[in-house]
Amino acid sequence: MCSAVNNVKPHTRIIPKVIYNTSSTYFITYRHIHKIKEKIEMEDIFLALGLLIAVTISLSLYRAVLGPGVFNQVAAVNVIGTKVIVLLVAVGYIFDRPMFVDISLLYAILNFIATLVMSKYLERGEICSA
Amino acid sequence: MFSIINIIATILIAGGAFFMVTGVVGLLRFPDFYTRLHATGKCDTLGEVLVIVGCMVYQGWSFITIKLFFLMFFIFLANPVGTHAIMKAAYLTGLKPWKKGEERR
Repeated sequence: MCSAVNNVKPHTRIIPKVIYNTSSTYFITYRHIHKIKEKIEMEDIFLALGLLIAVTISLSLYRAVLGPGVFNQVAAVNVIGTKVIVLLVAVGYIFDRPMFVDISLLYAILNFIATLVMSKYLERGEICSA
Repeated sequence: MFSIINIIATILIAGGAFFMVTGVVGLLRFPDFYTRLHATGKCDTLGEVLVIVGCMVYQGWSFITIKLFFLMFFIFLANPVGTHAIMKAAYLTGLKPWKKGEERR
């Protein structure tokens, strides 16, 4: 990836390098490249994982919209919600900001409660008996 | 190139992605509501837990690892419970299971 700059002494040149998550170009000094290079190759894995999860979400959106009966739709929405948890973790690693795990924890709790409340409502016809 | 930690994390993440894709194929292709839940309830739980364990291996020892562990624990608890709740609601409202030879629903 940086084979053309191997014979350059450190701190003598500034090398342009494109980061994935933004469309702008960043300037990184030579000393930092080795630290970031390993990280970027692992970021490729997380980027592929995020794209795969996006494809599976858009496939299961078929069941969520057109599924025969409301129970298929609730099951597909549950599946989409549990996939979004992992997508949030992957996005946190892609943007190099792993504090997205907090958001995914909160999303897991909300998704679980939504599934339980929806199934109770479909079972009894009311959420709580007065 | 990759260190041992990254290789182990990549293998775990790839296994998790395989199980998630398998669960979605089951959700699309199975003939009945109960069989669809049979596909997604197990494949999604195992796949997401494998991906999160891969992220834990990649992260190493830090505070985020503990949060990921709690997330994994919660998914292990919550996902089968949610699947069971939907299935129980569908069974009590009188949705018949699919039998062989019937039409796909």
